[in-house]
Amino acid sequence: VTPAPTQPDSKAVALSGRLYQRLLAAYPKAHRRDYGPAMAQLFRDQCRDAWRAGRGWSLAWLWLRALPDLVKSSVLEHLSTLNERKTMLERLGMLLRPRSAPWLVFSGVFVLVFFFVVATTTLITFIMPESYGGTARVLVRQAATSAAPKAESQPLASSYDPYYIQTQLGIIESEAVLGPVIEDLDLNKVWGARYAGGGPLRTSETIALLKRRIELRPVRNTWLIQVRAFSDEPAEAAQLANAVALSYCKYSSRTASAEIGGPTVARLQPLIIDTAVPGLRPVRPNKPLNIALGVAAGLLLALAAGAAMAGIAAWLGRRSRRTCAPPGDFGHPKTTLDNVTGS
Amino acid sequence: MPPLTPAVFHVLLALADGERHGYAIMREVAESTGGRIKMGPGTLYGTIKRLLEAHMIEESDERPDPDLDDERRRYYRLTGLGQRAARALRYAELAGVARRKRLIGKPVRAAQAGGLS
Repeated sequence: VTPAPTQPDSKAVALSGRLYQRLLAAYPKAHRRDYGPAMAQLFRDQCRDAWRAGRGWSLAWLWLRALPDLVKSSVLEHLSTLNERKTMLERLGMLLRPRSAPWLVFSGVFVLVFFFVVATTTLITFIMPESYGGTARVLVRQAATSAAPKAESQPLASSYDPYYIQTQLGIIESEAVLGPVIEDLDLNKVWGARYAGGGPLRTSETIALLKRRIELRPVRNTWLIQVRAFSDEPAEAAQLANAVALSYCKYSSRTASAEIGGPTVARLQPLIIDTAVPGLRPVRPNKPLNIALGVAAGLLLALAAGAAMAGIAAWLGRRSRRTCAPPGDFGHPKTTLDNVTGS
Repeated sequence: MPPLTPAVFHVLLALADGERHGYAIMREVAESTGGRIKMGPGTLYGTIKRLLEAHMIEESDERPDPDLDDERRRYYRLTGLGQRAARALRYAELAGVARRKRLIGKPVRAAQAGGLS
């Protein structure tokens, strides 16, 4: 019998005891409630003996042994708690078995998940702010000669040049083109009043906003670029698209005049071939497409969730049937005290 | 029944000599195994929990000498079932030692003996 301590513990022992008590939080609540005080008491006893035997080194050595033990045994206790919970699940499964045939579970889960996904998609689609689009098209390279105006509509003899088109896309998104658009439409003030609480925006901020609202797309194997602009007002979307296209044409004209000059200027001048008109319907969100995608996603998710839940229901059913079987039917594969005692 | 782990084995044997509290069980195990097995508080009380659930051991209210001992300590002792298990374990241990010294042969299971009783 270990005598009860008569002397106060050293600081290291007291600290170790307190620290270990904190670490007991790693165990499940029930285990902590039933055995926590006893474990803490035992560890304090160990600390006292270790301190008497070899002071700090023995205490450190004790901690080195205690920590892995704490980790291992807390994991085991948690697993044990989970197993107990599984037993409860089995009982529940057994109770519900007559009413939870796998196909019934599948149907229930399928319907529930499908309607949930479709309803969520539809709701989000209708909550999203509507956005209108306006599209202008620009011919970036024209006829080869400037002498004959009718030649402007003829295609170039040279082959399609993706690098040239990419360069023009970059130019359209540049400040040199977008800056005049902002000035012409007075977007600093208009958007400042709308989005920044009244004060004018800085040009750099407006350019950033404008870039997010335009979409440039080359038409494949042609010299055409599609300038698309978006806004929550149909007229503004069209106005933006036309202004960007016009600004680009003016910019190209200016640079061509500066570089080449004379009658050959028309050779490189782009031309707006389609002007944007205000849209009648919003382009974003695409409601029919979103709902169709929601239905497709709902079908897939519902199938997966239904199959998974039906599998679990079948497994629970099998487990509960096995639990109902006579005790002799399921022997523990490990060696148990039953094997040893023969009881 | 809990699986027969070394911890279960040694705790049962430690309690075979009489009731003990947790720390005494731990020291007894360390002494009887020559320091080979040093259980931590977590392992010890996990084992005690399983043995209590299996009704192999029980908590004792008696204190050997309350003046000498901390009253917060919990003592454990073997139940009738636990005593039978401990006896069987001792025999099994002795048989193991004898087998290692080749005094007896390997055990022959009934199934291996073709059902002979």
